[in-house]
Amino acid sequence: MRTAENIERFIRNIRYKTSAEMHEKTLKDALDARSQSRKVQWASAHSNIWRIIMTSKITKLSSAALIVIAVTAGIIHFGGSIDGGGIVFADVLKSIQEANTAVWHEQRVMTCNGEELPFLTTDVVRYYSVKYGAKEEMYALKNILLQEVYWSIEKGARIEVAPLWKQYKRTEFTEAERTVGGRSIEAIVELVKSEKTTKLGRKTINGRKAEGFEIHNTKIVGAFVPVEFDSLVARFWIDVETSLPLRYEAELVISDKHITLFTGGKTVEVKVIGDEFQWDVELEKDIFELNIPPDYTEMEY
Amino acid sequence: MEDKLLIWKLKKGSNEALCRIYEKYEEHLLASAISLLYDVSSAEDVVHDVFVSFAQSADKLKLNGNLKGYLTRCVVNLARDKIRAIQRHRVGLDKANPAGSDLQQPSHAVIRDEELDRLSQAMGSLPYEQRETIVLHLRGEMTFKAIARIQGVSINTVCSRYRYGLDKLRSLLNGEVKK
Repeated sequence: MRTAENIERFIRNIRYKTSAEMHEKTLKDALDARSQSRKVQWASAHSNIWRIIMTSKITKLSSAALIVIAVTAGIIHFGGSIDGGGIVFADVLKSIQEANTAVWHEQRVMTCNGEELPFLTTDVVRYYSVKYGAKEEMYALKNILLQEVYWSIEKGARIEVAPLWKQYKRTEFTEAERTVGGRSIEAIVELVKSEKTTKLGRKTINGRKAEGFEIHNTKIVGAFVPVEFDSLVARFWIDVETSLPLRYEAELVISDKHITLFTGGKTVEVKVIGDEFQWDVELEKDIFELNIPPDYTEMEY
Repeated sequence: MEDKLLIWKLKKGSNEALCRIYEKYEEHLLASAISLLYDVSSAEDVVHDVFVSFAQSADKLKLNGNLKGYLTRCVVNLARDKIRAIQRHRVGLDKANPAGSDLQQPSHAVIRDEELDRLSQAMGSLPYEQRETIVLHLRGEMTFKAIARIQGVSINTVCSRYRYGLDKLRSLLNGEVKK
């Protein structure tokens, strides 16, 4: 015979062993949720910093999606690399023209006195299509979408969209963007003809033979984006077999006050790496279609 | 480890603290959910959702009472939502099928523990308010006053729900009345 006290004690103390499957699933989902939540909170907490960063010129640093193509084509031609066994400008340009699309990855790591500035480090996925234009998706902390930028050939404009702040901005193409966007070989040649390059020889990248070129303090970047930097070294690696870019690396030193604002006036070093190129892949039209939600407002900067 | 320390570590980003909290309370929470829902898979869903939600919002957590009570309240709230959803669904089915449906009966999922099974069956025959009051008081370690506040009724009503519920449970478990 159970008394009321006995039942109370029984109810207080009952336990039910969870199945191993349920245990694992709940724990995994909880840890994933926790991780995601902390990222979003981190992003939110640094929202103001990023807002300031977005207003600075640093995000425009590599905002011209086609710059790598123009620079690569140009330096190869004017770097005097036209020799029997070397990469030939005409081949590169032809290969780029024939590859109707491209997708690649770019990482930007910023450091100050050797210490990484994690809130300024971003990963970018770039898309390029002869038919539709270009687009980049900029992520912080691996999966927080900070900004999308569309270069629309049809509209002749660059449109930046910042989902975190539900804002967007439309800017007419710069002259340089229009030139590369128009894909006029003569115009690209004119743009880059004064650049001097150093040959780096050959090396293997991801199993492909590549030929490298290095440029210092090029003016081309400035033609595309209004960034003030103290120095720039950029290296481009071209696939010997396909004559298409395989990888690029750039190191910049910046004393721009918009950037050193975050480091107490100390110089910032930026390392940019573009890799994982996929040329002539099938890209859906909707990647390039701009759909700004109705509640987005125009950027305040 | 003390719950306060676990919460502190969790807020500092410790995954280990999250695992520790889960392992400490999962069996308790699951048994509470089964007591309310009399259905193992629904109870597992509730515990899963409560814990994932807890993990998401841990940084905003401001614990007034103890962690066990807080998590039990979360289970009770979610179980209540689930019961309401089932009732809504049942109303819809009743309209379509006046002969009734399986959802009027407790689920048939097997409860492995015999004693818990008996208790769950007995709990399942109580009105939900009485069931909830018993779970909140005995398993969530909440006072009648606190339960009155969250149920939006007077403390006397809560005391009555508890007393009637417990009396009926005693009768059912002692075989004095048929379930």
